[in-house]
Amino acid sequence: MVEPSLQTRKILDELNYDFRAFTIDHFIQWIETVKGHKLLFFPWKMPPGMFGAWMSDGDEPREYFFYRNDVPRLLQIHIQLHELSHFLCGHPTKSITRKLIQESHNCGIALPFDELAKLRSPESSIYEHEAESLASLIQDQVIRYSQIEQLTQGISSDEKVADSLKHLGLI
Amino acid sequence: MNPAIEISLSILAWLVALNRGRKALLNQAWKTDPITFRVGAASLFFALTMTFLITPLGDGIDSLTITNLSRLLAYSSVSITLYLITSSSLISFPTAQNVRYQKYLKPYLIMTLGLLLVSYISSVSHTPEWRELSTPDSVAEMVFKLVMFTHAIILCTIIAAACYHYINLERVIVTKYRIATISLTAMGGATFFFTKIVLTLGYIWHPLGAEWILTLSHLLMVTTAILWGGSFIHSNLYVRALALLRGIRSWPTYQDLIYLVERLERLCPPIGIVLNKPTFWQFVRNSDYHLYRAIVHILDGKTLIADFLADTSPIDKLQARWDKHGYLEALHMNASLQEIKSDDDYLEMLSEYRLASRKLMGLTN
Repeated sequence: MVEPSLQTRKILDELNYDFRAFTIDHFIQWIETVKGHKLLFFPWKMPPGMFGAWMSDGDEPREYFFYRNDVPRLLQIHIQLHELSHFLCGHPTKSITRKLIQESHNCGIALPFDELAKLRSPESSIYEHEAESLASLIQDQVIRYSQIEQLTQGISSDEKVADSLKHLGLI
Repeated sequence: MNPAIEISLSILAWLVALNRGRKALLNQAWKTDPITFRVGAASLFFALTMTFLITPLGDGIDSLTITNLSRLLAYSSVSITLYLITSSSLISFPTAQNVRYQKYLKPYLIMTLGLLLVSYISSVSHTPEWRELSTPDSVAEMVFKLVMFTHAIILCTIIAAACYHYINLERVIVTKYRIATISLTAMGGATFFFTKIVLTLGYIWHPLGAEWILTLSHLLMVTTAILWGGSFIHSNLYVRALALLRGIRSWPTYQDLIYLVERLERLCPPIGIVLNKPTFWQFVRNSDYHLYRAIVHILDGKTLIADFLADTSPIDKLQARWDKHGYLEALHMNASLQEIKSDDDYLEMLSEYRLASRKLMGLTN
């Protein structure tokens, strides 16, 4: 696994999230509750070479997340987790308003993605590293739990067998 | 066998019996849970068997009572143990066939115990004290052993068949593997008792008592004992073992994907951080995670190359990113990866990108 720093582990521990319940939507809802911010996600036509972006609302406790709309769902979820990780790590970002997003959506005005620390720009490598570490830590947790879930869906197809195994202390 | 080993095995059997018996007693299993009750009782009878088989103790019982009584007690106890285990297996795996077997078990046990008793009273009790050799010393000993070993083979075969009939109905993978282990244990047991029969018949025809059959018999005994232990380990250990096996199986897939990741990383910078390549053991311990990360990297690289090649900026800008060789490689790679359209099914993606990687290696057409 990508070596996560103590800091990213601490951030994840503080969320106190039960990864057995993980779906991307459930995870987002949980963070909204814990952080007290509204998190809004938009599939977006991103500029070439860019996969996602996170911006904060200047007026309200709202966070806006943009992710590429033309990539497979698997990569979209990865981008969402990566951008969420920037937010969870408390990295600096640009402020925008809901009005600007609305205008961008309706009139095709470009959002200020260029001003953000671009994913691959060398100067933002520390933030990128941290966000990616947290995202990979989250993915590791999800996979560890889903693995056990997958292998322990119930105890047996037959209730009697399940009871026997339980009574024999094997479960 | 060395008395120290006999005593150690007996202590172990009693520990298991006390553990299982305590659970059965606490839950009043004889009223509500016939399986736990039978397994508890079987553990108790098995512990008794092991106790009667301790040579100094057996000799003591025999000298205080009747010759070879310890053998009658041991063989009767092991017959009851096998009956209880078979019976609990048939109740546990309730297929129509298993229910049919159930009604023959008790009469067969009574018949076996009767035969052992008759054979003991009529001949075994009159023979000199048994020496534990690979082949019997007398006809009486041979008959006595054949009765018990035949009983054991039949019951082990019934357990193996009961598991076999049920295994295809089971959908939970951990339980499926556990039942397969129980089935293998029963088959191991049946084969072990078969070698015991062969050795016993060595009394009539000496080549059957050959050394290699004795060695095979010991080997089967150890294998069966290990499998027996494996049948009763906790499900969490099964889960871990299965994850490791899956990891070992998917290692070649990962190697192929890593080749593709490396080719992509040469053409475009990785996201945030470089993919850490795990060692074999790191991989098998968490294979799903490593495969998933490899796919993320591949999708990222695939998207990025397509972006770069679709860039409408002047060609010299493109050339600043790649030299001529790199540019041609990017074109080739892009063409290969764009052919893959399976973006929804994860397992299909793994297989498609693996295939693409192997094509790039020149291993597949």
